[in-house]
Amino acid sequence: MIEIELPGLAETVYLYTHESGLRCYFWRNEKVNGTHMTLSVKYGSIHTDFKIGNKKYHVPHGVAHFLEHIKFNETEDFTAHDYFRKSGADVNAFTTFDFTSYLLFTTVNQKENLKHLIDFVYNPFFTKKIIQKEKSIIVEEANMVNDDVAATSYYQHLKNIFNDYKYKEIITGEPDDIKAISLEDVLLVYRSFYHPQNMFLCVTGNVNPYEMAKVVDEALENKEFEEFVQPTIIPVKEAKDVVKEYDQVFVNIMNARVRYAVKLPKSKFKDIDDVTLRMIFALILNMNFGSTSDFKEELLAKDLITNLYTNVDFFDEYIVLLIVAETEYSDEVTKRIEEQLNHLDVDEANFNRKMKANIAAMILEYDDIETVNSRIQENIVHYDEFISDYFDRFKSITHAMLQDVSSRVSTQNKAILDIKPKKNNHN
Amino acid sequence: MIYKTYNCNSFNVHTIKTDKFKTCHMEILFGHPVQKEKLCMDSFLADILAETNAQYKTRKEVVAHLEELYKTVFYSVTTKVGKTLTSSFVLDFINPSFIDEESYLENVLKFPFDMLQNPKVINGEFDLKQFNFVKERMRKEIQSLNESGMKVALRKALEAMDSNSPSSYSVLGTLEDLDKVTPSNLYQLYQKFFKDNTCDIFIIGDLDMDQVVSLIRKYFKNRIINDSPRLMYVENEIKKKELILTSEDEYIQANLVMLFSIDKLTKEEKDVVFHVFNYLLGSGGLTSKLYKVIREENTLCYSITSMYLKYDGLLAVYLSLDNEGVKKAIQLAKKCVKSLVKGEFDEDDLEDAKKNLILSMNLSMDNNIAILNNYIFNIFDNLPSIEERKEKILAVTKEDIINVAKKVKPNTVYVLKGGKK
Repeated sequence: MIEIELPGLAETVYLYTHESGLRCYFWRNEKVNGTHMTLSVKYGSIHTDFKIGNKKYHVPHGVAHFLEHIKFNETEDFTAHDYFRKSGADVNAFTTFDFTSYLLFTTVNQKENLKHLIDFVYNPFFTKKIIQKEKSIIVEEANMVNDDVAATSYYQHLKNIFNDYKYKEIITGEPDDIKAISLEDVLLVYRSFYHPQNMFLCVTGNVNPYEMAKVVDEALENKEFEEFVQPTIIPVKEAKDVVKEYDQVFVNIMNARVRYAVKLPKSKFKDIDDVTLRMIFALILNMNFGSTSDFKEELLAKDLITNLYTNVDFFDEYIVLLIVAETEYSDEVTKRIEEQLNHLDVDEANFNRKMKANIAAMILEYDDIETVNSRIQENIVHYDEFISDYFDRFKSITHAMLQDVSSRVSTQNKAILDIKPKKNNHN
Repeated sequence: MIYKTYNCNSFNVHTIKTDKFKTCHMEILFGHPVQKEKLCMDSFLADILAETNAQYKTRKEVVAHLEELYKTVFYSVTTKVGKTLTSSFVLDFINPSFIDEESYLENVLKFPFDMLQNPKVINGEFDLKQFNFVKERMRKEIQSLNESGMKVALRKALEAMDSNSPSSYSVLGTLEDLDKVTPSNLYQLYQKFFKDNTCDIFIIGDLDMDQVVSLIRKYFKNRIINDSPRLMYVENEIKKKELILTSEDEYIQANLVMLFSIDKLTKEEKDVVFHVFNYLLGSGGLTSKLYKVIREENTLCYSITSMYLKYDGLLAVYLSLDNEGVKKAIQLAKKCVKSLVKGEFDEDDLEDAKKNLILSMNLSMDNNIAILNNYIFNIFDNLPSIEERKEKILAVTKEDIINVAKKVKPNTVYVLKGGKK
């Protein structure tokens, strides 16, 4: 067991690696009743093309999510839901672009629940009948997503930003993709990726890490895993340019909004590690477009916007900075966003205040078992390790670093999505 | 956890002292009976009071000050619970033990009362610029209620059931109501605000509560006593014949809402038994009757749930699905209710439901807002404590479930048809 100290936060995360290769992370909070357990596989919706040895494979979009749904079937007529309903745990799962996670919350029978979480995920029970039945349910789920304007705008924007990256595809797959998924696709993905070496466990809450490690040993004791086939995801080469610089859509909304994104190659920031770079960009966007920025204040004062928010996201070799404004004046607002992005302002007093506020937020993060669990998962998926020195990294960020990164931002590759109401016939 | 109430004449402070969390959470609650024509203005007032004040004249200044207070969060929210409208002013702040500043707690607690008692007013009117900004934001919020098919269907179902029932009122009011609000009449409402509302302050955290109350007394200058009782429960009429309405919109899926009346529950049934019934029927997620029958056996939808509107005496079942499946889903949902009336569930199902409700309650004890919320309803509606309710849940029998199931009567079905390809 490795004890990972978190400087500045007075917290410890425990890492235990089982002989099968499964990495297990534990964080103990003795003040809470609950325990949150997640067993995750580094296989998500974008991983549809991969190689094992020299052989290439392709599976339909939506397989990761489909597998997540049917994974709960333990036998023909018994599901993991049936088990956890009796043992007293709230169980669920989710699929992202990068990974799939099986999770539960519980306050009782911790050891049994952890053991069964491991048992059901490592129990490959898939049949044609189950697959056929689940298709119509998942088609309804995809239709639900396609009826959600926020979700469809998000995917439309990604389609306009990325030429070839699979991030532009809906995680569930479109109805036609879902209908095309076969038992062979599911088995291929399960056998290739659901191996302890490609998975990790994270338990946060009122637990003894050493006891939990013992439960992992017991749960895996009689399980035999074939040799990990080490699938490699076939890299997708993405061009620097966006697909569409400007696009206008008319959708089922009442209030117009505009999404402004810049696509920056990560190669421009090679000298800064990803963890620190994410923090720097979050600070820059907050200082320039957040509630304490002159920019937002001016646009609000001039009634050009009613709301504005930002986001920074990393997609393989690219960073996407996003500014979303609720506005009736998309032309004027996009012009101003562009001007601001080309003249990013990093005022020192503002910087010092943000640093103080963010340090407080970092301390508070370790109050919640779900937040800590998500933080660990996100770290393993993005960096393949738990980042223990956030506090120190954050404190090491200087005003000069922000100025330097700001000066490298350009709006050369931008994608603007102008979202207008289609009609006005409600009420 | 130590619970204590301080009576401060014009307001009460209800405290929970616990060292379980790194954050402290405070809610200042002002309540009065719901009046349909005033809802929009009430929401507007709560919104503008949390936006700026005479000292912090812009939103930027407010947020900068909150950042100086180590990312303290302050906002207002207006909610309707049964017949009572509540304007809540909420403050989240870091436990002072993490902060090396002696005056931190005093500065944090002073802030919401500065905002409430010192609004930005010029010549007897709210500042026009700020007023217009909040008004425009509210306009968008009211309009955006129409951006979700499910929200539209739920609102229309409640209006169709009885447009004069407080259960059908929107907290934000209507665009017509909004147009009638002026900087002047809003200020007039503000002048009566402390007189027209009862005030209760709830706070949870690892704090010296005597000191907290003394600081609140120092900065909250409310001297008007309003001790009107809070009227919670709406008595919605039970329909002799179920109402079925349909409209269309440009969605792929249909949005289906089924409202059921709940006939005269006892206090115990309201607080305890009906929650267990609802868990078995549809709020219990993947193992509920509705989920098993409509999703698993008939694959008509992805998600289906039932919501117990305790203070409205209603039960709402809602789901999104293909147009073709609507008729069958309605039949099946009614069949699920009937099967509970007939007692078509075994003791195991009941025990599992109880176990899982207790699990949710135990998990809620890890959340300071959930603990405070329970305390709020304990004070306002005599809701038993979480520990007491757990005991009562364990005592629920199959017969109790059948008895409440018999009190569930079909009221209104609303179908917002989709069909867009």
